[in-house]
Amino acid sequence: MGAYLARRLLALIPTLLLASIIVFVTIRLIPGDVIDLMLSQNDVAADKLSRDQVVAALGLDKPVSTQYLHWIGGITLHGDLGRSLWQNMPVTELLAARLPVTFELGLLAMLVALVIALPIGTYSALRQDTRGDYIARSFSILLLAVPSFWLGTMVMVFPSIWWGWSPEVNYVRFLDDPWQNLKQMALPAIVLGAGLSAITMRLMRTMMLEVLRQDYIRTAWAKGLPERLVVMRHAMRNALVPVITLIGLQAPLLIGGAVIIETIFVIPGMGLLLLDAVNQRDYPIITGVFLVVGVAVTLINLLVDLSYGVLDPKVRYR
Amino acid sequence: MNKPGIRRRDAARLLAASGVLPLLVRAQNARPEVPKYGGKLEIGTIYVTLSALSWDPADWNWKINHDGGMYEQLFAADLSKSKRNGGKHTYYADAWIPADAIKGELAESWRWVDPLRLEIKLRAGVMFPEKPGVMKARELVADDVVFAFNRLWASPKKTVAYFDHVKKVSAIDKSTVVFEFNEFNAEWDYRFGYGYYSGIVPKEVADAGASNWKNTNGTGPFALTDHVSGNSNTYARNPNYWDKETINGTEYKLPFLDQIIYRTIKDEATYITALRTAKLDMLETIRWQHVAELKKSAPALQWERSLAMAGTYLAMRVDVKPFDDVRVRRAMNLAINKEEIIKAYYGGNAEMFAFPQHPDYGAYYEPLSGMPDSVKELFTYNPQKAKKLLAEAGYPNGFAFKAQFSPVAVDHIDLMPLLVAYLEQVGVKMEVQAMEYPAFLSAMTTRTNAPGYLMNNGHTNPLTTLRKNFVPGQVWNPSQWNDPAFSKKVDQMYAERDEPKRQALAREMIREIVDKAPYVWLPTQYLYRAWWPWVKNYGGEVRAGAVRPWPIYARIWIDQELKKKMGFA
Repeated sequence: MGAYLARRLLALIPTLLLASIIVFVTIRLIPGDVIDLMLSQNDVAADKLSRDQVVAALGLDKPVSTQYLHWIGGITLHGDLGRSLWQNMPVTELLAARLPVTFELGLLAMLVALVIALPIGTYSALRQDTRGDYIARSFSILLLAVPSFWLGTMVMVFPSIWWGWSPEVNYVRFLDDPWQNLKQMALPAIVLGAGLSAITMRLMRTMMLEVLRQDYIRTAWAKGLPERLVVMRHAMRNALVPVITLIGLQAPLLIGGAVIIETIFVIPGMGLLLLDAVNQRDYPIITGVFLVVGVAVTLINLLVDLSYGVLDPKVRYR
Repeated sequence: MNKPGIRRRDAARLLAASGVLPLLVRAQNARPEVPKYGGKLEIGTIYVTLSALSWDPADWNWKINHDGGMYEQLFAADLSKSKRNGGKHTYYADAWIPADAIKGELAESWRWVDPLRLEIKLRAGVMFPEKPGVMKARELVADDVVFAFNRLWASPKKTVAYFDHVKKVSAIDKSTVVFEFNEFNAEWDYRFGYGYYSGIVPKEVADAGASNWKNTNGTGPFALTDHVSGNSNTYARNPNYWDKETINGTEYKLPFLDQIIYRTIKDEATYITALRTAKLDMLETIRWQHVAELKKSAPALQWERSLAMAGTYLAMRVDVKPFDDVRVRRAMNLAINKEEIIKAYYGGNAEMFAFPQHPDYGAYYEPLSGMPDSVKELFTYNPQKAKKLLAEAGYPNGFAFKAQFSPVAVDHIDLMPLLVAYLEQVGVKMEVQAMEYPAFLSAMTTRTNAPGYLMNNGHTNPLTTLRKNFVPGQVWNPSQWNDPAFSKKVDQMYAERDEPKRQALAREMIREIVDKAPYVWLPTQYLYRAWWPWVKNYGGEVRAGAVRPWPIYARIWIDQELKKKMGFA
């Protein structure tokens, strides 16, 4: 297990290095340059001297390879992701403020998805082809069909027209007021989690149907075990392995979905930070966000892989 | 849904439906109101979608002047001359204070000692408040102004030409600053007196790191106490602020409010919703499409509208064929039915002619009715004449060209197909390219934009609008207009000390440039602002300097009693 973990962690390094090179270079290749954007803020035209000064002040006068080595050196030696080109603030500080927000939103959305998907998916499998099963499957298709940006907008707009109520736009940090924070995060988490729950629900149903037809389940029924024990102890544990894999694979999608949900519900997470950074071509923030997301996604997938051993005793790590 | 919300809503609707609410508001407005201190104001500003881009004027970013409620400048707008107070000024312009409406903010008085030497006497007793870890409380002195200017001038992010006209800034005593000029520039007051980067940042803040919001500290009416990027800026009252306001003959110390919160909300549906449910006390930018519904669902809102401070046009590159021929450019104008666009597309919420000069710009502006016939003609719809002009220019069967636009200007998504359809009627095929905004902007700044370029462009002020649009080398010149004679006139205008003469020159240049049609001149739309009736001493003013609202906000007070009566306390 220890050796496996070490190997996986070591394998992260080339993956992240490669990802960082790709992001670092491609963001500089897309049309629209940060210098053009900065100089267009001013209503007096900048001459070449002004332009060169700004380029040098931002450290963009050096070759991209030198900039990359400087950047990666800062990370490895000092944990420094550079400074925002616009705000002149350390990127690590900006990310430190935003990461917990998106992490909380993602976690809550995941919880919402699981709370909806696992019981309904299980129920649907146990009552296959009954009215309850049809309703549950239709519900999952409905959730799949409704995009989160639409659902989010509806949740934001219509209660305000009908009842004069709307979700909070004032973000409160969890540590400042946990209850207020959770009240604000609940709706976005439900909206974000709804789409994920639909896929998870359908996979859970399929896996449960497969497991419920296995010999050892038939044996469990034959032994006269109560349904609760058969389902919870024997069936669900095995059915969960692919579901957990799916959740791991959904993690990047959750972060992508957060861009839209954070925009609609005014949640200052990494999604909004990334959106602003892309619009402003703030290269250090963009590369910093992608690096953090890359690390998060690979670690989540590592955790998923490790969870197989817990869920399925047949799995051994070598 | 929560019951307090339902009760609030019911109370407000009941009041509105019964006719009591208007009476209540009118009664409140009719009797002399006594301002009250305290409360907080939550604002969706005119830049509601945009978080702070910088906290340091030396970054040369325009938005610091909008967000920096803690920094003051030499000059500001005299709000006693606003329309609300019986004056003539709307205070809506981007970065222009009319000459008769400039008042000293940190400057108590100023005089020209000679044609190139300006002496400014600073207000006495203006204090920088104490900021733990950054600076002790102390009085503002002339050296602070000199320091702020020199720091701006030494910034590696500066635009070199911006202060070409300034030779030297120095302090001759504790309260007197002298500006020595190389030449007269008619924008001298705007560029440093009330411009985008003119906030007086003390040395202590610069030493502590002015780009970090936690270090900001100035003499302004509010101090920044929290900043959640992408969500909010929170400002608290500066208890030692120097300015006062006289209301009904009584003098009041400013500011009235304890707290101001700027909300940053990117999604349009969300900020409209926040206004509707009074999570915003005021919203400074509302597109006309939302007005009818808001008036129905939140009937108590107070309203004001203004023509946008940005012109909409389809620029045509005059350095490439076929747009190098004025007949083609005029034909393009005649082919578009602008009257129909105003009626059918904007629902009447637009005007024919508010760019390149804005009707709010006083004598710099000349209405279309006073223009020569050849200019008036460009605003009529005459496809037959358009075809004739195209044929004369050698394009009897029309031509094809590429045009770029950015969907970030939501209206343009609908406007562009309309233009395509109109142009097709005269045989001109416009191939449309939608671009992400930074790429779109970069195309213009690097002068690689397509022959057609649909955009909104702010006026800034009555002089800048002529320079930045029609002088070669300027960033905001998408038609690549390059006429040495015209550029010379722009220089003359900047060098002219006498304002009526300057205004006459500007009017003459507007006639000339509109007639030469480097752009398809499109209608300018109205934008709305709305606020709840408990927001007092406010009439829809937006800017009292270069995108700077703080003197306006310092004068607003909240009628908490009315807010409570309406069920929103």
